[in-house]
Amino acid sequence: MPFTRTRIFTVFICAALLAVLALPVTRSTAQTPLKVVATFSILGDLVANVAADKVDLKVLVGAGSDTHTYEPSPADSATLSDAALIFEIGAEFESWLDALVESSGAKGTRIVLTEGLELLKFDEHDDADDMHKGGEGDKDEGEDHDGEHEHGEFDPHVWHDVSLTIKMVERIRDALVAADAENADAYMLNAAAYIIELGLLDADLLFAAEELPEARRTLITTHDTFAYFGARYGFAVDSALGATTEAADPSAGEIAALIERVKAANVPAIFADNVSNPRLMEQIAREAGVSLAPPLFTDALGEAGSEGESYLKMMRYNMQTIVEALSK
Amino acid sequence: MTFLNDLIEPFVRFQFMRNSLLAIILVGSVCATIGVYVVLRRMAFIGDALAHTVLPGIVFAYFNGISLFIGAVVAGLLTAFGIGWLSRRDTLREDTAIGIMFTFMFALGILLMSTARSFRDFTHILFGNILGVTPSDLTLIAIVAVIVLGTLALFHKEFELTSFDPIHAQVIGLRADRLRYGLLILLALTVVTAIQAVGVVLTSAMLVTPAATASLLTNRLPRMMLIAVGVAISSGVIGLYASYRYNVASGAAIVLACTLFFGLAWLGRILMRRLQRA
Repeated sequence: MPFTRTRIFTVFICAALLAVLALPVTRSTAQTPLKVVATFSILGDLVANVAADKVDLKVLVGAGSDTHTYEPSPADSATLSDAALIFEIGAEFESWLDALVESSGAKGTRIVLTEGLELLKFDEHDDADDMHKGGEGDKDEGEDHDGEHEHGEFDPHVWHDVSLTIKMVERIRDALVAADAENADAYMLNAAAYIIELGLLDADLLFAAEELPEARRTLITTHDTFAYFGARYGFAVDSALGATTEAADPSAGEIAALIERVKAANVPAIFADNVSNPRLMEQIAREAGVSLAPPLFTDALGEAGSEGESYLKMMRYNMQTIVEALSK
Repeated sequence: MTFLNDLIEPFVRFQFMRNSLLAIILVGSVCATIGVYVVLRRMAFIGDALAHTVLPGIVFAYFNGISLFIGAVVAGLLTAFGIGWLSRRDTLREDTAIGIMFTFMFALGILLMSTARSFRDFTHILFGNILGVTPSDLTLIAIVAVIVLGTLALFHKEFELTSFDPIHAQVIGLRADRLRYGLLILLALTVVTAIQAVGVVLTSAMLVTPAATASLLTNRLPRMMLIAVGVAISSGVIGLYASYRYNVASGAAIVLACTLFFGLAWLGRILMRRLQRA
């Protein structure tokens, strides 16, 4: 029987097939870490600080990206379907997640981190007299008036209040311990250390805010993302576009009213954020004769190496930028 | 008099209203004028198509740290050449060529975007809003307006003939293909500049609706262009004013005002026909 080219080729193919079949068997003998998914960059950083190297963590919406306008890819579906734990903010922040979980057939436990927190409601922001100090009894009034934002009734941007972040870290810790008892000690230890760091951060932010005279503590931003920040650190908050980060088409009347409010508030600066087009804020700043501060990190971490590459850095950077811009 | 004061009050009081007004006058004039050719040549989707085809240019520019606007212009010009080449000597109809280039370039943009781990909605970074127009935007639109309107004026005979009667144009020896490329390049410049200043929907509407309105009222090209520009600018003023006074979305208000003009022209035409028949 002569060794034809075809025959050699066939043998080669069979060998290759066998090798491929053998691969998963040899791999599965190694212990696989718990597969964990966090929906976006900030949440990913919190989970990473508790889990360290004990889990296989994947983050769906990366640094500098907008979770509201995110469009999932097939790779995300695959990631989700493998995950044992799925950490999400909830309150309709990840509006695309339910559909993605369903379509990917993900069986992992979903942990909604805003559950059990006292949430603020979104409220109206187009009246001249409604610029308000957060946390002064406006927790249950107002409602979603313009129907244009993606969010539900409640404001999901809880991470801007570090005391709430600490509560979320505790829940992340408990979920990891429950899912992976073997590494419970590591999770407890990491979480304890991180919570101490967060406690220090919170204290620093409270002190930093005190540096500003009370009359100057007014934070005017592109979107309604700083309600929790305002409530915790004593700032009045107001925004140009409300809650949405969609390419909103605002009305000239609303922009005119905001310009009047900026003038009346007598603030030296207003703020853009790291996930949206700053043109509108530039226009408002120019018109009201105030400066536009460097962009704050709102709904996402910054790229690696930037001032906002981690949650701790991002929060310090935000407060520092705010205090500097408002004390001019 | 009080009505007039009421009407000009927002523009006197706010710089941003004056910027928006100037932007819509410039964008409206250019888009409505070139829009007449768009409507005559049955390529109404070119505006929307170009708005999508700039995506790969934006993504490429973003990754390589080049100005997004330059990236968008280059992608827009490539699209124009692609459409011109595909539809040369009537191999394909222009609208088919537009459909092919539109989906090809958009898909290319999505593909490029998916290579980056961090997803960004790139179009939102570039696309502007009529209320957020900056002085440098205004300069840019003004320059493009001069280029586009100048070229159209210079070659109006040729453009007119190839649009109304391509066969006759061919017979008397006009280079229809060259003129087609020329028109597509002017369109790419216009649309890219307009979308980064005032956004996609407004640009698409300004390109089609005023010209369509004018085409219902007259068959003579210069008059059609004048009416189209008039409709565009009037809708801009009405829309901006309504947006200020009644707190409604500005881009949408302008587009609706424009559609209202179209509706009136449509009604007018029906009535005229009835009268002529009677």
